[in-house]
This record gives sequence, structure tokens and C-alpha cells, in this order.
Amino acid sequence: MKAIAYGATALALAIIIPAVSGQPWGAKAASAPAAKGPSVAQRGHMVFERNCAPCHGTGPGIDGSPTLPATAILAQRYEGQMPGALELRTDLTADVLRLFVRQGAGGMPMFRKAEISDADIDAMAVWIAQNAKKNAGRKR
Amino acid sequence: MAVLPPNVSAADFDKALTELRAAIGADWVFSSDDDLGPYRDSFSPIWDTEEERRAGAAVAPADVEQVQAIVRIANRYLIPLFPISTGKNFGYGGPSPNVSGSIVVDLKRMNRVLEIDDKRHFALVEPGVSYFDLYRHIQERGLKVWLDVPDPGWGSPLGNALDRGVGYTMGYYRDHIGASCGLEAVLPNGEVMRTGMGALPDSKTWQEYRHGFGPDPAGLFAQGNFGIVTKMGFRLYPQPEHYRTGMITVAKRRDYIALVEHVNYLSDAMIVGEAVYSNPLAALLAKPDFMALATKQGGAPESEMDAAAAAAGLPSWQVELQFYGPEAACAANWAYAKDRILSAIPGAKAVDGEAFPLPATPEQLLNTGQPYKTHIRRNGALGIPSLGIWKIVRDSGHVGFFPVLPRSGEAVYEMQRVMCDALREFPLPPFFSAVTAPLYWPQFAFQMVFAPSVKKEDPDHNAMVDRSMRKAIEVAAKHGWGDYRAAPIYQDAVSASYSFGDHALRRFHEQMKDAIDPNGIIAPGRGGIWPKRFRK
Repeated sequence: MKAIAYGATALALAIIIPAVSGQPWGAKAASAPAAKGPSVAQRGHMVFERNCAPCHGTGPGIDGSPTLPATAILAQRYEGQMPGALELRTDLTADVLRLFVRQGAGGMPMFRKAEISDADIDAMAVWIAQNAKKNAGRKR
Repeated sequence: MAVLPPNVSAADFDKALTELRAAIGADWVFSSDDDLGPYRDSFSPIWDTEEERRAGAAVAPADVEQVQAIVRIANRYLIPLFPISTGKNFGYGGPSPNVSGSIVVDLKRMNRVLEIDDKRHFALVEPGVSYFDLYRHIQERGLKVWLDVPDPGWGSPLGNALDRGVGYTMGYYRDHIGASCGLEAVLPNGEVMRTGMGALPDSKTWQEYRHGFGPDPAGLFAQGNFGIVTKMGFRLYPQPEHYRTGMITVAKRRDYIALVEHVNYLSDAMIVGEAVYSNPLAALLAKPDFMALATKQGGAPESEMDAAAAAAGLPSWQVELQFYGPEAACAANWAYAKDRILSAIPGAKAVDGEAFPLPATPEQLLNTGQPYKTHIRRNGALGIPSLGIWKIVRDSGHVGFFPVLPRSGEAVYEMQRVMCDALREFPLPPFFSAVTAPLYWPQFAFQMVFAPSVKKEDPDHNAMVDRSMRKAIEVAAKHGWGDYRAAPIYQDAVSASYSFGDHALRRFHEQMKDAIDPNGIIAPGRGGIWPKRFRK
């Protein structure tokens, strides 16, 4: 029940991080620098859950697919050398994320600053790094 | 380097951007190449060609007042605007405009769920709200209403409805513009208008009675360019208690004609949700002999198709039925459907599918429990947004042509034959063959799909795809089949095919466009409607 679990995660985070209506998550402005501290990681988690996890997450795919579409493609490409799920990767710096978010890849379209700000990308990089450390050894 | 709109000088464009920065904040006016990259259509078959439609700038307003300010500035400088909601209309142009140099009005930041009611079953949302957002909003509050979602959940209910998107539950809700109820739009002169009961100050029924009084112009905003829609209401499906599925198969190719008539009855009587047709013989396409038969010039002979089915031990057609509602009603409706069809079509068989109370468990959502190979996508059938469908995206994406055809077996066979023959010259997978099943997405019509992939690195392939799309539109129109939705680069061709009365409909739209938007600033060309100053 990926989608419902996703909703539950968002609810938990919403208690910690008030929604900023009309803006990408936590971004005061597109060019605002990322703040320091734990809230950055939490914000990064929320941005990831809302924008990336539906295709790049660790959840099951639809209708019998074992993994989500982008996770499946990356797992196939990396042949076990790296996890297919982005949240398990240890090499995704903010600059690498920014490259793919802004330029897309294959069937993945580009994301605009009105959707995911640069500060959001920085926050995602912080969360992914923390999460990857926690999940070290997972292959999926 | 910025792409300028037609007949606008670089100096005037810069002045407009300066005014826009003052109106909505410099952080939300985008004009650099890097910032505008994501406003290109990443699924475009004319990617990186001279013809590609590219934005000159983009602005992301936070509220209706800022949208009004943008419209007024655009009027001063005669700069076309192209509004997008979440900008995810992939296969139909994505966030890219009809006219290069347009300023894209990116409404993603206007992302509030303004009202939702699970006693009177409606929602009122802004353009930047996605299906994911609205679903999460409902789940977090434990509301007893469902969405009807298109395949990718990152789209906007408002934007999807405005391009006449469709979903997968009960007929009424599958037609997303049909299930809308009242909208608010910033008109080309900067005024704010509300339709239906929303035009009545202090109305309490904006999302409950869409007509209001007098002509209702809400439909003009779908695939149109008469304003920028900033709010839209939707009827929501009360959460059903139970879900049941079942499959009916028929032995002979000819039986399909009667099967469709029975399912039409079940659907129009609102006994079933989306009926999902498929052809079991599609599994044989990997065999060259069968592929040759299924794509035979002039159509596959019925007797040979029946012989192929018999030899493979497969039925000729199947349909999966879906029932929503009280448990007893679902069981009774399935029993009725079985009895109705099996007693009328010799050789028809029924197989019970899954049945369970709603909401579904995580295991049920995985959709691995059907006693047969199912073509129903479970998340969509249960109104749950996802991006799982992205598994079908190949290469750099695709473009889509979805001709509308009558709900009859004869019409299905005619379209299979005509379009198969017409597109034979293109080296593409056989989208049309004797085993192509219709899609039952609209409430009262069928569609078929032609969605060739595009490849950013292969302009020759893309040029071939572009030619195939144009031929598909042309051939379909000659047979009375029109496309329901198109990317900007195909909107003129599709619009031109709706030509009854020497293009009376298009001329009517043009007259209205000239009256309502005399400067022609709102999405010129969208829906094939060009304002006077752009008409050749």
C-alpha cells in the first residue's frame, strides 16, 4: 500500500514541518540557501517523498511490478553495483541531484524551480546522505 | 538566449520582465536558459529543431492577484501567455507553449485545497494541487471520498480536466471535465469571473449546481484560451464499501459485437465501472505467422482469426468488469451481468475475480491476487494516484493520438483495419491490428491508442514519428474519427479536422476569442484557436 504509506509519512512530517502554502517545501525563494540542522534533512525527506519516491523509491511497483519504474531501470543499469533506489545511494550530492532534476534523463522529465527549488534539492541531498548511511548494505 | 514572441522587441520584452519582477517578486520570474530548460517538452518529437516551441520566460504567481497583474502587463506589451498547472501534460506538450517566446504562467505555487466536503462530495482546488496532494489531503483527514485519477499522479486535477483527461472508476467520474463543477478564471482583461453558482455572491452551492443561470461558459476553458483558470470544483465519488471484479470471455470473433452491446448496457445503466477489454490472442503476436495474420492488408479474415484462437485454445475476446458499492449489490450486479451475457452468447464464459471491502489492503493493492491475467490497473481502479505507469515510458517519452470511435464491435474492427493499413508504412510497433482492444475511458465512447515513442538523440526517428502522427490524424478524420486531445504541435491539424459547416465551430471560437481577448495574449493557438493578429 505504497500510496497510503506515503500519505502516512507525509502526515508525520507535516506535524514537524508546517506547510508553506504557495511555495516549494521550505523554500523562501528559489535562490535561498539551505538552512543547517536536522530540519533540513526532514524537509529533504518530504521533498523526496512527494516528488521522487513515487518513481525512484523503495516501494513496490504497480500491478505486480516488484519495484517502481525508475528504480527498476536503474537497478538494471547498475547490475548490482549500486542500488536502484535513490534513497539508498551514497553518491548523490546536491550538484548531481540538481543536474538530473533540472535536465531530466531518458523518460524522466525536467523539474522546474517552481516545483523543486534549489534549496529543496540541497535538502534532499542531506536527507539521502543520512538515509543511505542508515541503510548501508541494502541492495534494492 | 531568450526566445522572443512574434512582433515583440527585445527591449519591450525586457521591460515586461522588469514589471513582472516588481509584480510577483524577482525570484519567481525565470528567463535564463538554465531556468527555462524544464519548460521544454521533454517528450517532443521536434526536440532541438527550429520548430520546437520554447518559452521566452516563465512566471510563477502565488495568488489570483498576481495572475491578474501578469495578464495586465502582458496586455501592455502584447506578449502571449501560456498557463500551466503542474506542467505534467506529457505526451500532449508538457509545459511548452503553442507560440515560441510566450511567457509560461506556471501555477504550481497556487497549490491550496480550498474546500473539500465528504458529506456533499466535492472539492475546490487551485491549479497547482496535484492528484498526490489531493489524495494525501483526503487521507490525512480520513475523508470518505474518492478521486478519479489519471495514470500519473503528479498531474493537476484542474489541469487534467482542462485538457479533458480521463480516469478509471465509474463513468461519470472518469470524465474529469464532466465531473467538474464551477470554475474561476482570470479573463484576458484581468477581471476575475466565476461560472455557475459561483457567479452569485455568497452562493452556497458553487460545487453542487454547475449551471447557475444563463449560458455556462465553463466548457470554453477546456482546451481553450479564454482565460487563466485559478480555481475549479469537482464532484467526488463517495467512497464505495466494496469492490468486485469478474471476467467474461467469448469464443468467436463475431461474438464480440454482442458482448460490446451488453457491456454498453451495463455501463450506461451504471452497473459497472470501467470495462476493460483485451484480446487474449495478443499473446500470439510474437509468432511471425500470427503477426502477419493480425496485421494483414485489408484486415484479418474472421475465419482465420477463429481458427487461430481455436488452435491456441484461447477465447477470441475478453472483458473485465468492475463493480463498486455495497457488497450485496456488487455480488448481485456481477450475477446479473454473468446471467445476461452468458444466456445471450453461446460459448461465453465467466470467471469470478477478486472481491474485497474497501479501502483495499496493501496486498490487494499489489494486484497479484486475480485468478487470471488482469489488464486492470488496480491503483487507478481504486482512485489512488501513483507513478507506476511510468514503466510503459520508452526512449525519451512518446506522443499520443487517441481517436474516439463508437462503442460497437463493428467500429472496433473497422478502426483496427483502417489504421493498421494507413500506418503500415512507418517502422513502428503495430498499435493497430486485429487484436487491438478499445479503451473505455470516456463514459459513452471508445478510444484507441497510437503513442509512438520519441528519441531525443534520433531526429530522423522523431521526424518519422511526426509524419505518422499527422497521417493518423488525417486518415482517422476521413473516417469520422477525431482525436480528443493533442500536443500544441498537432492542435491545428486536429482542430482542422472538426470542419463541419466550413469550419463553423472554429470560426465561432475565433469570433469569441477576438471579442474576449482582442490583444490575443492568452495561449494563442491553443485548441487551434488563433486570435486575429496571429491568423494568416
